[in-house]
Amino acid sequence: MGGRPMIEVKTRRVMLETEHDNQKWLVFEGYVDGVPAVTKRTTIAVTALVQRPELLESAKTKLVADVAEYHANYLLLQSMGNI
Amino acid sequence: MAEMQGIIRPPRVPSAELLTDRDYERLFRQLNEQFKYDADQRRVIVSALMTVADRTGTDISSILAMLTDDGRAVDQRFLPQVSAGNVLSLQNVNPLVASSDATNATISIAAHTLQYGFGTVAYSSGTILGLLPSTDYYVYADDPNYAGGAVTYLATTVRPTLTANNGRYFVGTILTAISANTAAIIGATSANPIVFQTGTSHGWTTSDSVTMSALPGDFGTNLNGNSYPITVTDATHFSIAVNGTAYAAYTTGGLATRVSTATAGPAGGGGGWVDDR
Repeated sequence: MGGRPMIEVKTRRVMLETEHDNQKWLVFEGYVDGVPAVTKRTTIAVTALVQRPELLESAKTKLVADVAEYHANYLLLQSMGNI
Repeated sequence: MAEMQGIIRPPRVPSAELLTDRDYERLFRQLNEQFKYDADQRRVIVSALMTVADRTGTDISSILAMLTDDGRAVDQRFLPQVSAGNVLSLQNVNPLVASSDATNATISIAAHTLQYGFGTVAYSSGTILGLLPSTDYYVYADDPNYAGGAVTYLATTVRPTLTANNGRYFVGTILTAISANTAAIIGATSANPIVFQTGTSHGWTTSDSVTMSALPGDFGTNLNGNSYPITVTDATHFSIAVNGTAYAAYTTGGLATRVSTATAGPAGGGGGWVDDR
């Protein structure tokens, strides 16, 4: 049976240096294990989340989609011998 | 001769006795042997520091005070100046783009590369959400080790924040786009120019650009999907420079959405020059 194995894009919260900044910004990182080149971070202003809590899920969904796209491009370039 | 390693300690003597000449002789012989043993390392280091001290007139302890334990400069006064208009680094592209929806603005940072005097540092793309429309932001990231990659991009409206951390990379400035709001159309004139009436106060300004959609009849056929600069008549009326005298009378329906254009600001750079805005 052929086909490419499913690549799992994971997300994790990134903590900032100060508690003040962590109260102000929510930072998420989308990544694929073993492929740091396709990692991307999204920063969300907490004040906006208070008004629009739905922003969090939409942001995470887009982050996962972006990283998945980057990974697909990465694999394509790798198969062409460009990396 | 046996190899000498480790710290040279003063000879042990009872507190009531003084060191003899022989003790001093032995101590200095150990010190000399230690330097010989480590000749290819420490003598080179001492020599280099002596050379710098002789050349600059700065003593060795002052030179060492300019370095952190991991060999990095304590602050930018220890850095060389790149002779390019006093700019310490340049981006290969301006990575900033902004857009807005009805409530919030988003700044997108494209993947880009910084050219320094020592080489390049590549940064991954990123996004900052939940910002205010129509606002000047300074975008930055902290990267004290020049590592690049996926950094956390932040935005501030306070300029001094850009230099509040020695490891801070100033990405650039950008004015976020105006909010994109949609108004329902409840009337339109078959005239030149066409005057539209909105169901609620649109809050727009003359020269804003709006995209028409869902308009009926001739209005829809000719205008739907197109964007036009508007002239505001009052809070619920605006016109577009289109001749609608041949259009059949307006019936019902339609939407007008103010276009929220992305605006890219001046580039920043690792050395950081803050554009005057």
